[in-house]
Amino acid sequence: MTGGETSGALVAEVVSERGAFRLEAAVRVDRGEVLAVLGPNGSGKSTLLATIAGLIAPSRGEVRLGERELARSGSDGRRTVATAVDRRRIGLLGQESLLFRHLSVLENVAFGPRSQGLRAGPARTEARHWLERVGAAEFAARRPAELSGGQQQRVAIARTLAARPELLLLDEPFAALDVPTAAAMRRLLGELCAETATPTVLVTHDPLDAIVLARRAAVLHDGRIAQIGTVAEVLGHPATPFVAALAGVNLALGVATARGEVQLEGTDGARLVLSSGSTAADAAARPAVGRAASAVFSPGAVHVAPVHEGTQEASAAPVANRWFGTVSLLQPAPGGVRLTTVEHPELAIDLPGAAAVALDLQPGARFAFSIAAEEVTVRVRD
Amino acid sequence: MTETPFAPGPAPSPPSSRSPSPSRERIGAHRAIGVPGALLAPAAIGVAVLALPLAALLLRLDWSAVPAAVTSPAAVEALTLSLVTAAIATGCCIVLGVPLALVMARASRRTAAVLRTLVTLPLVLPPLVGGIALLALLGRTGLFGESLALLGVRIPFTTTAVVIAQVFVALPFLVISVEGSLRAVGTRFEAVAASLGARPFTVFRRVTLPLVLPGVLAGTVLCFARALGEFGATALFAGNTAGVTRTMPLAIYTAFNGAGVSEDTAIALSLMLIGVAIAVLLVMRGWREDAPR
Repeated sequence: MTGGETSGALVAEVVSERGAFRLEAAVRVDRGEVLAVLGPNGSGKSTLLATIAGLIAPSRGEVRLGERELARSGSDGRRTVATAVDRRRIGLLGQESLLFRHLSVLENVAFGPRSQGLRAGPARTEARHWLERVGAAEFAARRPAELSGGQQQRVAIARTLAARPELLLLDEPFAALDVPTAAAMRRLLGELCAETATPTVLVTHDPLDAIVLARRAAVLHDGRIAQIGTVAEVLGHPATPFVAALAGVNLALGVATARGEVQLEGTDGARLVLSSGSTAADAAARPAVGRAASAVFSPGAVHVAPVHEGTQEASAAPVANRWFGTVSLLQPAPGGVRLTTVEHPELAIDLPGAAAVALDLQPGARFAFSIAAEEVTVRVRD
Repeated sequence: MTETPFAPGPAPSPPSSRSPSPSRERIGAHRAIGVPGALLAPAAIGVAVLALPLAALLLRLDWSAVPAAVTSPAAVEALTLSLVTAAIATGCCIVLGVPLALVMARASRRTAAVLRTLVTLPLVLPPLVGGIALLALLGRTGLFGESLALLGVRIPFTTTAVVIAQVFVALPFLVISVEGSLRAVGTRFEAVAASLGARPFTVFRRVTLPLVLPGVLAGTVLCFARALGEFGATALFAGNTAGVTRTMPLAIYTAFNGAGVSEDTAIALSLMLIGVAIAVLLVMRGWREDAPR
């Protein structure tokens, strides 16, 4: 690698196999950057982290960190480079703090510096510095078992950073913490990542982690990267139902029409056309007719109205952003009710509690739905 | 009594269970969920099977003969030999067994299964068979025995043979106990230690070993108790020479069968061995409960 821009960057292009599971992924994380990795369980997130960390060897591909080549396996599966875990300088931080329970907090944090050859005294000084930095200096003499989960995680962060890693791999580091503690830790980790400019891969289930800490996000699905882009793009227009659910938006998968709309086939021949109201200005970006396309909208943006007796529902060409549906399921939603329809069970519609009462929502009742074009975004899919 | 029924020892309790954290309470952890009444009778009979023979031993004892029996030079000699050889054998078991347990815990499933079968074999074999096997290896006409004899080394019927026999029968207790602990702890702490820059032996010394220490201690106790009670393999492989290979179990056997010696001597010596075994278990238990790890 040449040029200052790439110094210290993680480049991983790997194929890794674990039993029948196969991960094929290429990621790049520059210095000072945090890449969020999203994906359902079993999508390959931990395999990706384990491959980068050196806990499993890729069957093909390579892992580079700055100038250093950490792993390389040829197409014949022969490992030509395999740097041991303890020489990679990669910090691991997971959901559990995994503090060494037989060592004091101070000795835990001093473990990295000690292992890297520092004498006990300077290692402890270094450890105290990091404990102070994470706000856990007062716990130095305690045993990990005497600390709360959040305090343990603070110490784990200090221990990880005290080893001066050149790359951080974070695997849902806040998942086991209560909400206020997770928020405080998120802020702390954000500060430290920015301060040390250590390239960071953050595996998470929580879109908030991605929004607060990361600029870019990659979505793993079945061992492949299904989407990669800025967090705003990925969460704003998800390519997978998993991320759509994470981001709390509806992902409508259909085909493109001639007018740049997305047409969905529902059950019983029901059809729904979603339009972003795009004009000639972005006509070039319109999906090619008949190709797979997706529309994204928020469940709360849908307007629900009663269907009056004798309303003519059926029409040869459905009107964009207007449709009819029969309520199939009602669930609680923050501040109101979430309903799904028989015709389009994958699309959720939220409405405030008062509106739900006024409409007398019941399973089996029929309603008219509409959404403003500016609430819809449309994309062509690959 | 000294044929300690094999158990992987008290499970090494996670130290975190000491912290009074309410979130760790489980819904099943209430006394209200008791033992079904139908199971109490067999449990009581089980206790009786274990306790009654020992009680009978105490009742049979002619207490007036005890002081003379346990302070006799022969008894003191046998006890000393037993303690020394069992301690050396236990030391050997730790040095060999902990690495073996680590290899087993980290090996592929198939290799681990093969090794575990091999390690368990001395547990299920009659110790006499072990003695014959050791003679076949190290005896005068044994596989290595002849070469050793040429070098002037003779192992059978020496104190060394006592230690080897004890290692043979006691090693499984240590290996299985430590391997269980290693598997329970897993490799995640080791992965973290390595990621912090610790070389493999540093990881072993500073992380793996302290984490499995409860298992090592439990294994050590069982191992020592088993070595102390070893009879069959020792009798065949090491013989029954007073002061050289006559450990406590052999002294008891000799006293019991010996002409002109009353059974009381054998019973008194048995009592001594029971006392030593109980003392070892108590000391270890006290240590384990004090230890914060």
